[in-house]
Amino acid sequence: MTAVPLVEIEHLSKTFPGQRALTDVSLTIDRAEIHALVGENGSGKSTLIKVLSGFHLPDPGGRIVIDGEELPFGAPEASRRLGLRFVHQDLALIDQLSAADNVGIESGFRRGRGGRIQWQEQQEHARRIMTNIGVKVDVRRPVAELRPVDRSTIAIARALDDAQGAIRLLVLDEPTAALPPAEVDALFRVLRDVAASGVSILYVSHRLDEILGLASRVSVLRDGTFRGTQPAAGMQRQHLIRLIVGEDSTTQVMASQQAAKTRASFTGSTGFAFEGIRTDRLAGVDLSVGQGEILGVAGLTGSGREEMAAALCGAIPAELMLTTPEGSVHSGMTPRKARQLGIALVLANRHPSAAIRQFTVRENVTLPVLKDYAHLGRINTANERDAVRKAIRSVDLRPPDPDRAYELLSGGNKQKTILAKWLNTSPKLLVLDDPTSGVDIGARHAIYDLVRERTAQGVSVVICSSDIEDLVGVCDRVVTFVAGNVSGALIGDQITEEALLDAILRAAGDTDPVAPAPAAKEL
Amino acid sequence: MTEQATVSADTAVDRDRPWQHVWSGVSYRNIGAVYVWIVLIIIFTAWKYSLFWHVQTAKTVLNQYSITGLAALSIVVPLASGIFDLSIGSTMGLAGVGAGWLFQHTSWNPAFVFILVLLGSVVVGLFNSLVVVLLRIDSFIGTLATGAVLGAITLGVSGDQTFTARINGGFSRTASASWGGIQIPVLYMFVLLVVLGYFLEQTTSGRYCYASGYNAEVARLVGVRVGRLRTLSLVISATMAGFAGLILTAQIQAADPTNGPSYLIPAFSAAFLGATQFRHGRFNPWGVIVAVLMLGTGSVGLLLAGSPTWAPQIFQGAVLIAAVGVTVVQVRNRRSTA
Repeated sequence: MTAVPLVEIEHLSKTFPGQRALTDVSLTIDRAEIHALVGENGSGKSTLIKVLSGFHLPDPGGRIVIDGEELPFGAPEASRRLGLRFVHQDLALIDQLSAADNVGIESGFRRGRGGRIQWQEQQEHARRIMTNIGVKVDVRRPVAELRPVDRSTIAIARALDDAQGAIRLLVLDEPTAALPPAEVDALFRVLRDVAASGVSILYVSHRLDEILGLASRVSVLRDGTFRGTQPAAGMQRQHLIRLIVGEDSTTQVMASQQAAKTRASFTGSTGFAFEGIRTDRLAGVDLSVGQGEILGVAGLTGSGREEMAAALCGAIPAELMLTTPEGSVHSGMTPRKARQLGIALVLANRHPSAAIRQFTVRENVTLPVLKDYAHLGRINTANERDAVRKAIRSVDLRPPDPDRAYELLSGGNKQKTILAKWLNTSPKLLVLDDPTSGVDIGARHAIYDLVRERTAQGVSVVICSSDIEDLVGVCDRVVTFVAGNVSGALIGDQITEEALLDAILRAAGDTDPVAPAPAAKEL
Repeated sequence: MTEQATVSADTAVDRDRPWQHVWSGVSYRNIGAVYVWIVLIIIFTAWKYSLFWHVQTAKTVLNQYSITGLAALSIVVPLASGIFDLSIGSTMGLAGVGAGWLFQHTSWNPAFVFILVLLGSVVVGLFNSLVVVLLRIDSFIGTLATGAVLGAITLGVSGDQTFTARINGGFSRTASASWGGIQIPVLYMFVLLVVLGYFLEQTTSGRYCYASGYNAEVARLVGVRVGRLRTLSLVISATMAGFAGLILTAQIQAADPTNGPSYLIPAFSAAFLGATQFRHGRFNPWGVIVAVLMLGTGSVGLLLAGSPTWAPQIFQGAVLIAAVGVTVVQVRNRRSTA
């Protein structure tokens, strides 16, 4: 590491109409280091990245120096010329096109006479930049058919395509949001190699364990102000949480973690029993959850875990037999039947079918129960608004404004809205699918608390998640899946990260568990 | 974008809210067409004061554009539900020619013919639904195809002639009755405006329509029967188009196969321009009628000012691009700054 840092950000502020997103932020990024940037939703991380990429124009007074050269603001070409590259959370890949095409779209196609694309050369080039970071993928296959980790690495390889000049800093905005744990490790190996080759990485993530395992230094933003940079080595998780959420919220998170520990372990009665669940990925498995129990469903992408929540609620075609707590037996499932039986599907806020972004919070929350607020088909808006006000206050939505556009909410608040929408239906079985992806730590624990609260009233809960944190310390029991079948079950204290990973990866080593099935993407 | 919005919400909303409401209510982004409309009136008044500034001008606009208004209103519900009905022009034509044929070949009572044609339009809507909902053919292509079929049927029924028999009797009074120079189709237009406004904004079915239009999967997952809703919306559009075709035939007292289809493009122009008004991008009947009347005012004004006959069409195209374009640009700016 040289004495002069690669990136120096000095006194950077950004004011949006009516608010400050960044206030006098100064930080440095060293050469060839993996530098993590953490903070809650709304802390200013995205704004900072967007200033770097030239998307946002900061307030006058601040400056950013890259390797001794001042970065002109608001000019994406300049950011590119100075060697900054960005991989955004959605990866910005075109699903129907191949990796070679996706590379070409970003950095230009190799062309011959008459503008004809030289496909051979283009594919060679794509293959070369993949090999550069040690990745092997079929560059001719549509990227939709590839594993999530391959898609992430293609996006990274594309960003690192140095056909257009040397690369100095790679900025990654939550690259692991869609990845299961084992694939995260594969991605990290790639990132370490990239850093070793001399490129610095600015890494944004909500997943604290990842950050502590990967980064060399961590910078924290809170409410748009810089809260310091610290070495990651030896940093305690609790300490990092405190830095991110501040003292007040820390108490709340601690209380939530305490509540998880003291929660009476589940002993209760039979609840919902599903038998012979069969989908594209699930090979006729059984799953039962007791009343008041929190059941976790774990597994790599491709193991069937990702289809479980949708299958239980009839969102995707699935064969199954269900016995309800009342003893009625049902064959097959549809969303309407699920509604009648009190089965609620809470999707991740990033899932396209989780909520209607053009609607307000109120319209989203009441959609499943709209008839309750209507008389002869006419909606009583005053009643509706009152009910929504109550529902969103109970999930601590901020601000508690029923008429706010859903689209303008942060990830955590979107998730709370989706949760409020389904809690408002008084469900008997709550099925959550990746309920905390893209959700900051404060909101994450608030969501766990809300789910726990409901179990006290006898509600059964199934959490299907690719995030180990959703399972350890939250679930009473976790069922793990490999290749469409149950590979194990963990109860109570047995649920540890190690045990979970072991069960998830069991027998996954020799066979490739990921059969490409684009259908899994949309419910 | 999302992040900063959250921060601002905590600090600014409560205090500034009332004024924000008023301000955003009358902002150009929200009611741009109303401002364009006012500017048009000012321009024409200044340009041709004696010809334009007259109650008769307002009556002319209302009378001449009420059929366009009916046609445009007919597609609001399908558009809100996320489907196109490109067959409304053909449905209008078929309804008019069908009524003309019945008057020519039977001695049935006009009221009976009227109802029979409306029922026929319901069948057209069900036929559209068969193609779009049951066979799951994309509505844009599906209704383009059914529209072509309906057009062919219309031509066949008419035998390439214009029916005029018995139309000028009791039937034509459904369009010609007037009070103080305002003809009854204007009343139909406003009544249907209020009915559709009520349906889309006040009823559960209306809310489900918007939900299905924006994200059919979300609607399906909460238990909305999206297919039924779309069938309903196609029946509504076909029936309203049939009604518009009948009134058009009664108004011009002739049933000609070329009458209906010419309303398709103006109807869609008004519907899309109308969606940019009042409700932040939602298709809504109020916006549609403002758009129709604004476009009508410009066209009538141009003709009064002695412009060539092609001028109103250029004007309509230009206004549509400008109004929708400005809204798009503003939405884009809002995204990048807030």
